Amino acid sequence: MKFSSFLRVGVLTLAICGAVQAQDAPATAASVKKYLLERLERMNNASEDFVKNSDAYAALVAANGNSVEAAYKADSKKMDALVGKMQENYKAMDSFGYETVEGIVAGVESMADYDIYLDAGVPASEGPDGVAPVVLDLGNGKKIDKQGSLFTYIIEPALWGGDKRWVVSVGDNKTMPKPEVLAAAAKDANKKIGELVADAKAWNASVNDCFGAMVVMTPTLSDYFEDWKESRYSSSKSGRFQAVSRISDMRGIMSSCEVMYDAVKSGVAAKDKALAKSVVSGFDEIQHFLDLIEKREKQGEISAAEIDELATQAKEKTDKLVPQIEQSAAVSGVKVQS
Amino acid sequence: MRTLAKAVLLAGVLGLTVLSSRADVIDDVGSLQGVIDESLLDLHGNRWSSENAARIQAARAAFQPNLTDPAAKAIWDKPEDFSPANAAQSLGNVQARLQHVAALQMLAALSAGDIEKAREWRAIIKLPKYVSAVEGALALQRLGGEGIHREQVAQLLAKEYILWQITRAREKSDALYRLVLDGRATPQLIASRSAEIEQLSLIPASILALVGAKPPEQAPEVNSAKLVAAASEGSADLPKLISEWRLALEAGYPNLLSAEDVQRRERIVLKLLRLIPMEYQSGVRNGEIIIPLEYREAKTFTIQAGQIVNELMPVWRQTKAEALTQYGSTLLAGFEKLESGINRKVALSEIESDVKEISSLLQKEFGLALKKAGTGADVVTETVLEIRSLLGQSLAAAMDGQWRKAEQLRVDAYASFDLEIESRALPRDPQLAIKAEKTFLDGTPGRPGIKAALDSRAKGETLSGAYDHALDALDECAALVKVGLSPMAATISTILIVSREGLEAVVILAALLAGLRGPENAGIRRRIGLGAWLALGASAGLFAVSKTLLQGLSRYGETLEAVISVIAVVILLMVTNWVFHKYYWTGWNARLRDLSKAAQRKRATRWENLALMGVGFMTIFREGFETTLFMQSLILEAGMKAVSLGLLIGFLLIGTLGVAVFAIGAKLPYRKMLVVTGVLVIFVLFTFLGSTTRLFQTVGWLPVHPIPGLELPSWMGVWLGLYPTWEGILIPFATFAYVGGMWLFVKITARRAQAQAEEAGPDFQAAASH
Repeated sequence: MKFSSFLRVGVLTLAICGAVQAQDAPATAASVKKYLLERLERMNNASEDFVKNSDAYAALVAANGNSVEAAYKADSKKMDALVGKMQENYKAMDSFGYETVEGIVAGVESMADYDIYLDAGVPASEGPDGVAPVVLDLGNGKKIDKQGSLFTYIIEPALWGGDKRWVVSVGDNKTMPKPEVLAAAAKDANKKIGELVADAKAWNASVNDCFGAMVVMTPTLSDYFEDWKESRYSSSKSGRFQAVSRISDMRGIMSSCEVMYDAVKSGVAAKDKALAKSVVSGFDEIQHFLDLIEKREKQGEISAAEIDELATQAKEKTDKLVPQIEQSAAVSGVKVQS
Repeated sequence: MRTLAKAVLLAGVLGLTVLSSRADVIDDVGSLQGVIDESLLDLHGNRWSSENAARIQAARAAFQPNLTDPAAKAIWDKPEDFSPANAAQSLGNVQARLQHVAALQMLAALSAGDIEKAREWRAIIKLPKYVSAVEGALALQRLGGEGIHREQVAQLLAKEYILWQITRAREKSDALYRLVLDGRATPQLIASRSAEIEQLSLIPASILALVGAKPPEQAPEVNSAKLVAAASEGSADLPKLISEWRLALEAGYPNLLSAEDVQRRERIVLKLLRLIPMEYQSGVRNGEIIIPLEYREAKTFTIQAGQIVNELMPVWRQTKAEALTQYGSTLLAGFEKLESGINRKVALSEIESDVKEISSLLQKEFGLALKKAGTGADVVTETVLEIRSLLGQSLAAAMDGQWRKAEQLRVDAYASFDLEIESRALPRDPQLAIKAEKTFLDGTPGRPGIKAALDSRAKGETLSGAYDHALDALDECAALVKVGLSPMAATISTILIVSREGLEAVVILAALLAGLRGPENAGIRRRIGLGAWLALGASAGLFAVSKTLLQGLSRYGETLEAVISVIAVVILLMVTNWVFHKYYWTGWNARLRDLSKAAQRKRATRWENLALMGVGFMTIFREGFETTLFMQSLILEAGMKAVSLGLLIGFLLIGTLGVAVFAIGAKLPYRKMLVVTGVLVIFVLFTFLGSTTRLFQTVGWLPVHPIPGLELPSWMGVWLGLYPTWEGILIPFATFAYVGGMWLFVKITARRAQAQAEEAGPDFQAAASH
């Protein structure tokens, strides 16, 4: 390109930047807050139920001389039923609860720490970045000290037997959760979700927050697809992400992002109709795509080439959304943090 | 009324039609993309049938009426074969062509002033995750409708589009290569992906023209068809073939970088490469990740360096075409090997070896320079300014919440610091250098470094405080490294060396002339004197030549200083050696006397004239030669001004001495003067060995082993050349061991010779005394 052309492009850039600076801050996003509070309330209810069930489970074990094995031998049906109920509580708290608001909680700065604590934080051994500050007093002189986030590293592997530290063998390759781990984790989850509800109520939801959260969360979608691809290739599973498919997690994040985009869409459309429509279509396409993946997963075997193709197509769709959200913010006059 | 109602209804229908037709491009592309996606899944799931072929052809045909631009139509109308054998390639082609068609339609709509349409077409173009698309969106929003700006907006949109699609092509070819390495690539996958990548790389000529670029003149030798053939045959050469193919594609991409961008990127590549083994060493031990953060950095730096090299390829195609043809594949393969080694957590030595191979290839064959050219002080000044600017930008980005940008700028600043400042500060004051380094990284307890502040998304004073600490430490290091040897120390060294060498010359000349008194020897004295003056001139000439030569080599900075320092040390060792060796005086003087006598015997011949001049010349030039070479080292270390002052004072002293001896005939205590100057030269050698050690450590020829807890005031460095490292202390003190050893050796040898002479009798004693 000739120098004069570069110069002209440079002048143009300055003109554009100047124009952006002149924009005013936009309005609130009450619909997002309403959605968030509704979901959090459900999570809170599930966590209360989880506390009751974990207490009942612990009481059953205590009644059998504090032996999980003895309790299981004495009444395996009741034990299994309680674990089943707690698994449902967990799904309501996490897969169908937290994951549907993760895009908002993790993306909004004032609430982002809850994401580390509940869902995304890693154990101290994998730090120093993003270590979940979860410390559980098990009441028997032992502690779980920074071993990862409450949902992903403690409750889920305890309920599904993914981590030997949190379970007890009851014979025939069957494991049951340690009652002290479940009881401590349940109480902590209930407490933390309560705090999150309080903070969410105090949150002054703005359009800026929504754009900021979308810019943070949409890039994670292609990572999720990459995780999904690798988990499909991998013969052994890690002990995590077993409760429901990763598809559900992706759908949850997508839902939060869609809710947030819905709150800002009219502002974008007023400036650039095509862009607003393209982003909405992008979200729709990804949701359709998730349906397609779920359908193919349920159909059974997917060839390696098909897995790669699915992941590649998913990546393209999610990748495109990231700069388009940034464009949406820019044309709406919102300065987003990346 | 009914007519009005009809008109309103008609207008409404028309309006809706217009609105729906506007939305149709996005919807139509959505439908078409859906068919392409489903077709690809059926193809890779081995469910391809004639129904698929019919569906995709129908979708293509249904989309065609959206196209109005002739170039877009021409691309879209290219026939495609969706038979089972060719479906993969054709699907790849269609995917990529859809992007080009959208871009052409966008530009055509802009040119026609239909901004809404241009936006629609732009909205359907696929984008890589982390590209900026904001400028184009805003340009269309604010300036696109104004005819006066339309051409500039078109250039901006074209440039954006090219960058997006080149980035996508690179990402896709990288993913394809990994797929092949992992053994997951089927011939169908290779066919569809490589065809798509090839088509994406063929940016339409009219779009390239908007940024002043042209399409490549030749089609690459290795193409998608060859890759598919190799994959079908199960060839082991497939990864190599893909590397060659990627390189050929890179060579065809237009250069969108300015000369400044290129220079900066070339330097960053080498800086990143230098950091990789350091991060890896901290992050991985015995195949296990011990510090994830450091391991991740090693991996990220490798990927970044590889990406920058890819970005530079189109530029190198023009500026380093030969190197690119010859070593391009090796270079890319080197990066792939390095990344694979990091992923497998191999031994550090393997990573170091891979990095060394890539670095030396880039430096030797592609002419990249790791360090900035110029003298140490200039480089330090320039680097400090650069780091300050980068940190300023990083802080601004962090305060603006652009954490990713802030981190990139921090890495860039840290790489410059590590390469140009820390390497110089470490031999001088290891504790300060390490403390300064920490301010760029995690910091110290209670005082987070910049990296820690950025990682924790720090705000306010914590954030700005981290930058302030780093800038303070940077200034401290810069002040330390700017001065090599104190100018005063250099002046004193110059005076000492000139005095010592001058004194030697005067003593020898005086001894020679002592036997040539009287008017009958006036001619001889004149000829010897002429030789001496000529030697002074020759020494001055040598001084000028050496200085010019070294100026020409100044781009080698400290490396040149280190080499010249070695020469200076050798000269000083010789000088101190002669202090104790009687032979220097007896042997050298005897030779000169013999030469002089031989010349006198053959009077009035040309040979005699020349020989006598030669005697005078040799007497002075020998000392002048040593002085000249030594001075070069001092000039490089402390500058011309300090050395000139020393030369002036030294010459004045020696001049005075010469006048006193030769003109007035004064008798001076030569022996005492020689011993005193000899001892002073030993101290010069001590200082010089210290600063040479530091130079060797700076250029990496000697390791740096700090002495824990030892802190030395900076004057000890600039005056005595003493620095708080094991090497910086032990090597200068080795001077005394050398001098002491030499003194003992001379004494013992002399005593033995004396004893032998006493045994042999008086004749031998007389011979030995010479």
